[in-house]
Amino acid sequence: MKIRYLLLHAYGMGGTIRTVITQANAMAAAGHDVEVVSVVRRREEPQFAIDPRVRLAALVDQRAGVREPSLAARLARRLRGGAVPRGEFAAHYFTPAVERAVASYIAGLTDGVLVTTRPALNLLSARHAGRGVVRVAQEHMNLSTHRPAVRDAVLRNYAKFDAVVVLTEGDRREYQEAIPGARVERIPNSVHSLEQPFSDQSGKIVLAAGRLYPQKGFDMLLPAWAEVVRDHPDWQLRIYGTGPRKDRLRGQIEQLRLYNHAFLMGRSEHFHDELTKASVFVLSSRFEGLPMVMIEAMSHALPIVSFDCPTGPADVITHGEEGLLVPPKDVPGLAAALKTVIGDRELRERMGARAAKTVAAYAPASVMPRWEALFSELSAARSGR
Amino acid sequence: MTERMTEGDEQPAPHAEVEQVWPEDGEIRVLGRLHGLTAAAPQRGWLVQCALRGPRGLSLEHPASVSGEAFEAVVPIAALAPPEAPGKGVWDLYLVHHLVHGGERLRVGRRLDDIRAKNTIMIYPAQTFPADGGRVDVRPRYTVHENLSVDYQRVTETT
Repeated sequence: MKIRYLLLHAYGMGGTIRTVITQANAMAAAGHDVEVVSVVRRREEPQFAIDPRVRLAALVDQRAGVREPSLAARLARRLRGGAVPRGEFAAHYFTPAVERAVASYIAGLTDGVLVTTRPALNLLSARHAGRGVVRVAQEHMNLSTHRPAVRDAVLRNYAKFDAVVVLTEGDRREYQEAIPGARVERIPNSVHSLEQPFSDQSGKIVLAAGRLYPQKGFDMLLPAWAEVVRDHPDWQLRIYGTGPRKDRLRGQIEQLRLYNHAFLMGRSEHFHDELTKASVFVLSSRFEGLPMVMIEAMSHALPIVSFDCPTGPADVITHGEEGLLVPPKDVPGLAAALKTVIGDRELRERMGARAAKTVAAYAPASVMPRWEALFSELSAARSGR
Repeated sequence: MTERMTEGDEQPAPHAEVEQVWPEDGEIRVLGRLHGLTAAAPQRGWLVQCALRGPRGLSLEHPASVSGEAFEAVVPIAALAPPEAPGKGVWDLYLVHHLVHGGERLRVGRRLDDIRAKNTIMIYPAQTFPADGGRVDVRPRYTVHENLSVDYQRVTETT
């Protein structure tokens, strides 16, 4: 099969980029003809390893910077109405020139499977893809997290896809109910590998990771952590990631007097080693799609403490089994749950071992055949038409 | 400043390993453990020394306490901009005892954990005190060798 993945920025960092590249690599390894197409290119090299059998292309080269659209171009689009609603988190990427490049790329395809990987790209695929193309829309986010304009566009357009694929069972039900005419499938993302060293539960380290951005809720994690260190002053919180809220979080660390106990670690070249050294993974997000970094942590036998936010944590773990779920945004509850696991090494070992078992459902060997089966079925249905 | 190593020996010089730094209430309080001593540490007579990096020779000393191998050193910030020191500079922190390590000072640093490039990760708040119609900003920080130093800078108030 010919399979094309359209990504906003294949040269960037982030959960979606990583999982799409992992998928493209697996499809190439299975013998398919795979291409990853990056809408923009802002770096020389991709940040995640791409299989040499996967072709990588970019539609708009922005390595030299982003050109501001002309007034005429902006007005023309305002009149015509862009396909990308303003509420899309990535809407600012879609200047008229970028949107035009994506539209003409999609319109020029005549065959194969086109997998689009975020709402803006899904909506452009719905509008521009020709009849010869099997169209698959990936949704990495919960329907309720889309802003109204995006949600309206999604509801109007997603029935046009051969399949809409979401990450969790909760999402599958929600999208299916909202768009009765669509075929909605649930296929979770897969972890990198199941062959990870396990935490030995000796490091007094709680690890969190994600972009330093309000969505990740680190502003709630820090006050919870201040409560934890009152009882456990020999433990550290290490938050991996970069992002626009770094200075504000640093200020919060100072204000909470956490500068001996909570550290913004930045980006790590050896993130899996850092997971192995930790003893607990904590997820404080306001919302998620499917929190892959949490699932990666489980592959190191780390117990999880997580807000029960939409969506993902409750889809992956059961309270009391692989870890503890806390009502969303309940900061004292998060502190209490962290104290429970920090104070009980046997509990951590039991939950960690359970987490390492549960994560098998997210192994590449479990997930990739489901994609292959879906693409084959849709392609067969298309050619039999 | 280069780190001292004992000559002809693979063992690194003993040092004072930092565990916590509390730059609060006009003081910089450093807690940690003596590391690499060949004999039990004396429990009295320790000093924390702040040595100015340039010009060399200027140093300030305050008593430090040791209990077992644990130490606590408190540096009052108001002493960190004496008139003979330049407008800005760096104080390197040491613990000293005339009977320990041949009377050689022990560098205060945090070298035994797994975090490198601490100056981008373990960042402490600045404190300020008034001086000569202006103010002095002081902030402890780790050096590229993961040792603890204190930056100070005189700031003239402009109105």
